[in-house]
Amino acid sequence: MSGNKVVILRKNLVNYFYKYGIYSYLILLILFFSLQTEQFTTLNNLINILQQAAALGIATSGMILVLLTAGIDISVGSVMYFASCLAGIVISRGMGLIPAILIALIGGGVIGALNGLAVAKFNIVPFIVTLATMSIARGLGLLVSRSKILFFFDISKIISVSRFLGIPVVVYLLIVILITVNFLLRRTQFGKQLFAIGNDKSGAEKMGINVERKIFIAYFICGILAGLAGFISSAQVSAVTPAFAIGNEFVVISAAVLGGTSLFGGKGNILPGALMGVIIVTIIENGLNITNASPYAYPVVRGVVIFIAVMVDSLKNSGEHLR
Amino acid sequence: MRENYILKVENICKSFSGVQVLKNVNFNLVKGEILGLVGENGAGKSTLMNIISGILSKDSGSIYLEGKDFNPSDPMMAKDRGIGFIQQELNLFSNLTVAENMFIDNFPKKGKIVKQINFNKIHKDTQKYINTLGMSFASNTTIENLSMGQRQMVEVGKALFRNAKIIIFDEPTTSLSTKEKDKLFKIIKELKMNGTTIIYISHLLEEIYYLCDRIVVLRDGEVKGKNLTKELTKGKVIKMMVGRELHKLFPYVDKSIGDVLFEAKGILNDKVKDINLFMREGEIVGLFGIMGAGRTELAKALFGIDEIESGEIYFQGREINPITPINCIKNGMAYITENRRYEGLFMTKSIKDNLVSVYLDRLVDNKLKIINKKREEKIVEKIINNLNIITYNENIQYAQSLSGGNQQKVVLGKWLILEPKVFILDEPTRGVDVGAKYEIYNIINNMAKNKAIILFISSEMEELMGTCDRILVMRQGELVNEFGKKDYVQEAILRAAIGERV
Repeated sequence: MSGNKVVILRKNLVNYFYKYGIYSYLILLILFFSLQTEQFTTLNNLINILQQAAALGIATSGMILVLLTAGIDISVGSVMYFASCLAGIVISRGMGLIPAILIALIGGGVIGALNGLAVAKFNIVPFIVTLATMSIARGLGLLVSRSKILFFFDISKIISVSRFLGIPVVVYLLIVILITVNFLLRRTQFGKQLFAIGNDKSGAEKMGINVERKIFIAYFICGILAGLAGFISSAQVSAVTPAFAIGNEFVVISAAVLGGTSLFGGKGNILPGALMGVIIVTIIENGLNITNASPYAYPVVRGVVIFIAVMVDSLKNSGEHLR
Repeated sequence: MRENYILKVENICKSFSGVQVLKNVNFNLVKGEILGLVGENGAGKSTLMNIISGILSKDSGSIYLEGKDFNPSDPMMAKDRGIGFIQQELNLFSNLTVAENMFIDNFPKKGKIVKQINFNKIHKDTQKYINTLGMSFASNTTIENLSMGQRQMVEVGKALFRNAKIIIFDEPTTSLSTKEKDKLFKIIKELKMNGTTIIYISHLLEEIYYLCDRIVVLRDGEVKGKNLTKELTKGKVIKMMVGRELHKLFPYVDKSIGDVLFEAKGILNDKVKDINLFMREGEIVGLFGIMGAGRTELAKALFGIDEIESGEIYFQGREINPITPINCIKNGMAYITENRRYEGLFMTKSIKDNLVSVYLDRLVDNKLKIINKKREEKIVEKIINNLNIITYNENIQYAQSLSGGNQQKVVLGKWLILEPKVFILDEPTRGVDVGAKYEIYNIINNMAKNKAIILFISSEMEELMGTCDRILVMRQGELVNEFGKKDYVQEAILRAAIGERV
């Protein structure tokens, strides 16, 4: 019986951590970095953090759709690169902002559709599919850019400098996308059916849900949002280097998982989860940056963050999937 | 009276890879009745219900629903025509709320430009069904927070919501508490009063007699009786369920039974309750029970696959401690699972590779651990001849392309190479045709003749009676009875298994 109590206590602790842990984590991080340097808590830096979070948050929203179906998309970083290369070329030919955004969205959408088709229609394991497209998208980007750095000078001003009511426009864009995807998940049939598919795929088929189609759409949207995120991110740094966004898929996945999305599928949310996850991940990078930490420490910290997030996820879900 | 039949089933046949599971099944369902469907494991009940609810398709025969031809090609179509099937494994999404589960395939929506779910409506409608069913949870409760009984009610609600005219319950009480069971029975009776027709499948005759107006007995895919409940005694039903004659289906071997060599004392975990058993040298011991009685669980406990809380196992006077699969194999035990497809064979490996897979470390005779091909060849040839495994080339042919019977022989052969002294066989003849069955009985007999001990788990009483020296019966995790060879009476054994005194 006492063994039972320990189990219940553990479960409660895990539940508590799962529910409120992320807020405590956030507060601890803010405390830690503000004690390290005064720069951290300045208004400028806070706006900076939001601005940095924008691209990541947009990509994370797309990733959550895929994760909900118990899938995964590790091509996101490469898709961001590929889309920015396309946009960079359009810009270098002087075709302007709107065509650049469009081509980035299309580029992301094409890779996303490819992922969706392979996973939904041909039933290939998502990890393997997106591992392949990760390589394909990166390669295509290198091909079209001839592995040179593409510059975004004019556009970058519009994207990164322009503000409305003192807040960068990309932050508004982030908020609009978070609210839209949140609505999609919480209030539409498509969203609820994604949850159902992640919970029990064959059960969803039995209920007459068009599983293939929904899964395809999830990957498709994920690709488009990754394209958009790539464009914003490259416009902010005003250039695309061949190493742009390498490893970003893992930052995005850890943000999603930190925000309560389960890698087992069927669980996750955008508001507040994804927002919180993205802000935490961004604060860590921002904090390391302004405390002048060694750049080689970044991947280590990223790895630790993913590890903790995933461990909490499997603790929370252990037992449930072994029914 | 013809119009009174809501469902007519005529001459339904169905076979799986050559094995006929349903043979010319005929029965009718009277509108507004509760029909009990009984039969042994594997009698074809689930197959029949799967056909009616569109999950499987029939080979031949016809079904009429309300006088019209009914030929569902998928479950959705059956649902639309008013068939609700509540399977043992509930089809609910545990991460969604009750209301969302009810409407998941087609939510009522509102909004002109953006179609969003009309949550007010789904919660109002769902709450109405919950209340009708006498339940007290809220429609926005997530399924994972409901008990099994409550979840079942959600399934009933789903069926009602789809205007089901016929609701099929497949063993609905296996995971319910007594209280929940009573509630379910009350609801079923109320459904009947409101004109819904019910098909109720159960192993438990008590339940059938409490609920049902009529009983249909299936045996070996054939209807063996359709009578009003009040015209049948329980004894008669049991007789119809088993009433076969033992044909000369079982080989005989002259062997001698020695002393007790294997003993298990007080085996206890959450699935089996304080099991004590012993087996003698050269003895074939049968283990019978209905589904969920804990037979496989006992085998897993004895072989150390499932942890036990307490208990000891002695073999040849020595305690096997700790009880782990590795230690059991070391001590000469072998265990063949009921899941040969997933646990017993490497499907995409050759027959030879499968046969030697547990013997490899004895085929290496040098320091580099290279396999001695000649010895390998010899031993594989011997076992293939002994067991009469039919293959065009054991080095090339994959296990997956063998027939069920030959696959099972490969599994047996793999362990036979080790010459085990205690052999636990879990359903070794399931899905195997009659000829191969006979050969498997032969193999078992020969093992016993060579002084091995065999624990033979099966749901087919007939084969246990034909091959075993003794039959143990389990019910709800306990060993409840033991029959010596002279006391074999099918009805008595079945009664012990379902806990029915007649």
